[in-house]
Amino acid sequence: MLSFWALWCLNAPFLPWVAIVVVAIAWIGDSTAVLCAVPLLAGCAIAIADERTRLIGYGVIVAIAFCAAVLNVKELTFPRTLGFAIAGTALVRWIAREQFSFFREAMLLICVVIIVAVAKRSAFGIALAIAAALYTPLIPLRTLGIALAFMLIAFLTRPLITHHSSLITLSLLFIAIVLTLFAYSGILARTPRWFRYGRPATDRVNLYRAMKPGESDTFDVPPDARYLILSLSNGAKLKPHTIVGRLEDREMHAGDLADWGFARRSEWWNSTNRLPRHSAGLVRAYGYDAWVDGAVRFAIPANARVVRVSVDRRLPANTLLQVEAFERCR
Amino acid sequence: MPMIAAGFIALALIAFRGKTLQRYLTFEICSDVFAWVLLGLIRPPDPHFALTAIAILKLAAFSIALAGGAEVRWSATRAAVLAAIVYAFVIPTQMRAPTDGDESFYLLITESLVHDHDLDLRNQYATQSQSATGRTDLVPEVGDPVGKHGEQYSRHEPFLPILLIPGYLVGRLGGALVTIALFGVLLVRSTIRLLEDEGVDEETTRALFPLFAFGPPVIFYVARIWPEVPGAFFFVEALRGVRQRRIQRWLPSLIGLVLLKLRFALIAIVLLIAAIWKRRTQWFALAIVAVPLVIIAAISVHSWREILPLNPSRYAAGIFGLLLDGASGLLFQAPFYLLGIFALTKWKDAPPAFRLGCVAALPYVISLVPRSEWHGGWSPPLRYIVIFMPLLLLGAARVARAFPLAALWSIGLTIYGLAFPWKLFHIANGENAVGEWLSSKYHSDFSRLFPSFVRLNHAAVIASIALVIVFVIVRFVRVPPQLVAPIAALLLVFAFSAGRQPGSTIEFEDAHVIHNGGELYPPYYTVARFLYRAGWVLHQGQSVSFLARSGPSVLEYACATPVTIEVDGAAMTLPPTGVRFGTAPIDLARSGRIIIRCVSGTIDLDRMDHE
Repeated sequence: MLSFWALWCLNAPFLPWVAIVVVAIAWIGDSTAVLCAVPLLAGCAIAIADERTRLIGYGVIVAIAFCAAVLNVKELTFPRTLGFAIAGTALVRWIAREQFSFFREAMLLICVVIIVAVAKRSAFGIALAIAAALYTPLIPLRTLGIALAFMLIAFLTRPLITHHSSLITLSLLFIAIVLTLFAYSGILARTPRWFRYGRPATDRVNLYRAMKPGESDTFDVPPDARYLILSLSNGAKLKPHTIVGRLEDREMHAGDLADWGFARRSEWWNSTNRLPRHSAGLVRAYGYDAWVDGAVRFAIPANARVVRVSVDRRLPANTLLQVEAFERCR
Repeated sequence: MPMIAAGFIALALIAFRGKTLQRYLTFEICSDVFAWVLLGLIRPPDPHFALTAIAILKLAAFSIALAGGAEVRWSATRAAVLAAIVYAFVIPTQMRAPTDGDESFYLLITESLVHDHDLDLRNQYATQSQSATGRTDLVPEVGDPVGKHGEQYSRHEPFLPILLIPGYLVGRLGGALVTIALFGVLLVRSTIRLLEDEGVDEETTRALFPLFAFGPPVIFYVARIWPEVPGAFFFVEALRGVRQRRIQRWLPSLIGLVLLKLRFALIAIVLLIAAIWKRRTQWFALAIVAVPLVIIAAISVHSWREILPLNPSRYAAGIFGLLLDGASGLLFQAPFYLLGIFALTKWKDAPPAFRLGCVAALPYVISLVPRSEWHGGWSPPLRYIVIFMPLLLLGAARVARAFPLAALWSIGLTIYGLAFPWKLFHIANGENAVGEWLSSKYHSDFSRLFPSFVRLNHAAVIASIALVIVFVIVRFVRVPPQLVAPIAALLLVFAFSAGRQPGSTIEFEDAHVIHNGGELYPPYYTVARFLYRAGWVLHQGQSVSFLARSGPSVLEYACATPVTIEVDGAAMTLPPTGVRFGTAPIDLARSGRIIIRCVSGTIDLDRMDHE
């Protein structure tokens, strides 16, 4: 309670709940040293201004605390293994959620329990359970099959699971990487490419022009603008080779663009989009609800004063090309 | 990164065997992968800082494995080898900036001995571009002796420069630093042997070893040209020699100690008395130690009068300062060793070497604490008491086994000190690095939350009282370990909240004040600047902005002619104060950000106290 209260006073989003999980981890791992993560989380919230660095900082602290607690226990009994798996699931799925379905999450929790039971009380079992929690969107409900697939993996690998140190360490490495990104777990699960290529376009000159199929328009290029930020509306199911339109002489395909909201948990499973390499989307929400919008950065010709954008008339009638903004590079 | 990985593999091969080695090597690979992923995610703006942080965190992980591993190969010599490997990586980090403080002068003396075979530094000062110090702005220090024919000597004892000669001949500055690092390695070995001699069990020794060898303040001095690390080595050896009654150990150590620095003679004298007490055959040792003592005393700029008792309040400020000061005290600069101080409360149970060492340290500490420069002056923190770190380690070994928070703080300090070695030199202005950083980040006075005995503040008084209370109750009350970290978090959050509120005292030169023009008085590098009453000088049109409380306050200032200032929009004319500081009442209508603008004249703003 003291830890929760301390971080509650800090007014940092979702951090008190993280503190609760950390205390639970320390209790399961029987380690008071792990509790040092609580003042470290507070220090991180105070000291780091940049949000991305701060959230990853929380993740690093939690990941190290989690792995240290797992390593600290002399014997991974079933209750302890289950405790760690549930704590990991809580961090990956339940922290900072805005939309929460108790029924669906309860079903997933049952799957986590079964995975831990099948996987012989090992760190590998915890890793499998956390992986199941991460990669099962539960929207639509049939995606519960992913968790069942992890149960099958746990069952099939059961004879191979030993308490060999390399397997434990590799499992902990996986857990550490996942938990490091717990504040972005939704993005890690659905669009992991963003961590490598994503560069949010923050310095924008907004245009907010939605163009219907067959439309064409020219836009005055502001000083210092180097890129045009585009996205699709109702384009989540377009095939990658579909021609969307033209930017000056360049032909744009659906594979170069993405639907603005395709990475939302509710949309992702039914979407055929993939996060483009030049993603310029902004991060929305935290935790498993986190997603990155489908904005894409297109370079505009050097010294161009105007830029012309046209939309292919063969696109479905409800699909729009959204000319969001110019991005400046100072 | 590959070099660091190779270093850690070498550490593991030396320290571990069997399954522990196998596990550690697997961990090593995985931690490298994790670090690589992390670097990709964060894209740090300062790669050197990131690499240093990763290396220190990995060293912490290695230390945990060393402390708790089942199959560990352990001995004092192995510990020394481990330290040598780590110090080999520390040396380049310290060479990122030119030499600073006294170390430049020690190196100049070495260069004079090597090139001119004398101690006259005139030609060294004249040809600084050829020096390995990396400095071209050196001038003789205030009070440096001058010879009959104008020779310019240094105030520093020449023994350390003599020791540096072989290293300097091999590798100039790098070689000199390696020489000091070798003393660091010897210090580690001797300290581990001291712990073994005094019956500290191996498990505890392994747990404490990294905090000593790789933690502050030792890590900050093992690759810097100061006499502290060699002094600590000679001190430990002398202590061991006296305890073992081995004259061949303590006699050369005491001679080395005295030759290094005259102030160490105060320690040597007590150890010498302990060594020869009731042993007639060893009286000749007294004469042998007396010879270097006389020589050093003759050439030193110091006087025996310096150890005469001074104002009693200065003793209190000095002793509490060494323990609690935000910039120069154990609590913030090497918190682990504060546990060693608590060993004093269990005097009878303390190891005999600890008691002997404490008695030997007493004259030195008593002579140090009333001095205005008790904090060490322009040097990395805890300069004057680095020599006692092995002793405090021995005391801490008997008091505590669990110290995760102290270890965490030490890890942070080590990362900071190795990533930014030049920042270890902090002007004694009443602020510390953390306070300054937070103050400039939030433009609110966080420095006031850290005890300062250089510029005495409320936090210092509260911390002193709290320490005394803790000293008294530590024998009777035991805080459950589960509560320590949450309480620390709570204190941190409350302190942060308090720090964002306006303080009752505004020091105008502090980092939280937004300075729109003007200059610091006296200038930053003024010798013994802490002796001056510092302030911020404003000329016409310049202003300062800060958070203040509403209500009556008193402004302390100095000006030679009448000055008109504007306080939160209201103009007032202040009379001249001459050479002294004067006061003027100010009534602020509101709490919040206040601007003081100099409308005409020049004024030195010292501070503003809320009444």
